[in-house]
Amino acid sequence: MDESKLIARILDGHTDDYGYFIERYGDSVASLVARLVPCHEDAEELVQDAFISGFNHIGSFLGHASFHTWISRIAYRCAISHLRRKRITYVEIDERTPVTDAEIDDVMADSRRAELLERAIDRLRPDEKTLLTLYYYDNMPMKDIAYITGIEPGNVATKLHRIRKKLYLIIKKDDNGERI
Amino acid sequence: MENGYNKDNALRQAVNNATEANKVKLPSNFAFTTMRRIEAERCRTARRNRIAAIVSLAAMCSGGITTLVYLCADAIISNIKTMSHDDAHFACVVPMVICLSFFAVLNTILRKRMNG
Repeated sequence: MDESKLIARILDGHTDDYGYFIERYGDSVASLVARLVPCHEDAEELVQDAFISGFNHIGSFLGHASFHTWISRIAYRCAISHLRRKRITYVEIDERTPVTDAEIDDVMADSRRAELLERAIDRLRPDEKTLLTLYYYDNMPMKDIAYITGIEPGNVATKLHRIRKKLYLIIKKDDNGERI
Repeated sequence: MENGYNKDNALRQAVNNATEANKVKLPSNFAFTTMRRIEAERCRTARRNRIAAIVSLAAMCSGGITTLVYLCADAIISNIKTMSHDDAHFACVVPMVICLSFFAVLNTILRKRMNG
């Protein structure tokens, strides 16, 4: 189905056509939000808010990105502002610690470390978790990741590198039995 | 992949596990409830706009009438007095009332047609 035609129809007043987008992208958007907001009820509410906000601003959808990317960006912002209201604090790591890229690469490639990494991922900030998921799980192109998260496209790779380093440092500190 | 993190097998596996564990399946009536909320919100916005329009129109009308009365009250009263004493002047009030009634009826009919 041609989504741009559907959007034109919605703008013409055929509002029921919006249901197609909810049906098609609801689960995917919900997964994105659930990674940030662990409470499923809250996540569901936020997805609904995102789709309502999307509907109210559908006139501003210019087609520069796909509808899926556009609505994901709205949902991401809804989730982030929800988390800001909750004032949750996350683990901070001194990222100035000198580490070579080779050391990080070794840990990230070692399948025996997957479980440790999974626990370390849990301690990342939500925006960092989302970046990892969009890149490694959804296999999204850098420009779409940048669009959804609001990061400059050139900075996505840098951010990913910093997150990998942070994960490495979390694992190392755990290995050494130090308190983070 | 657009950069060199293709070899991050462990990280990829960890991200997959973490994501799968948090995967959400929306209830089957999610689209329906969302559309219902959208519709309710649209109605609320329309009602709010209508109330805002009525309030601003009323404010403008009352403002205009107040200004008119404040500036030309004496002239209006003297004219009405003249009209009520003079048959020739009073005669023009009847066609004016007929005209206004005609426009009021026309307005009602057209409104019904447009909305229907």
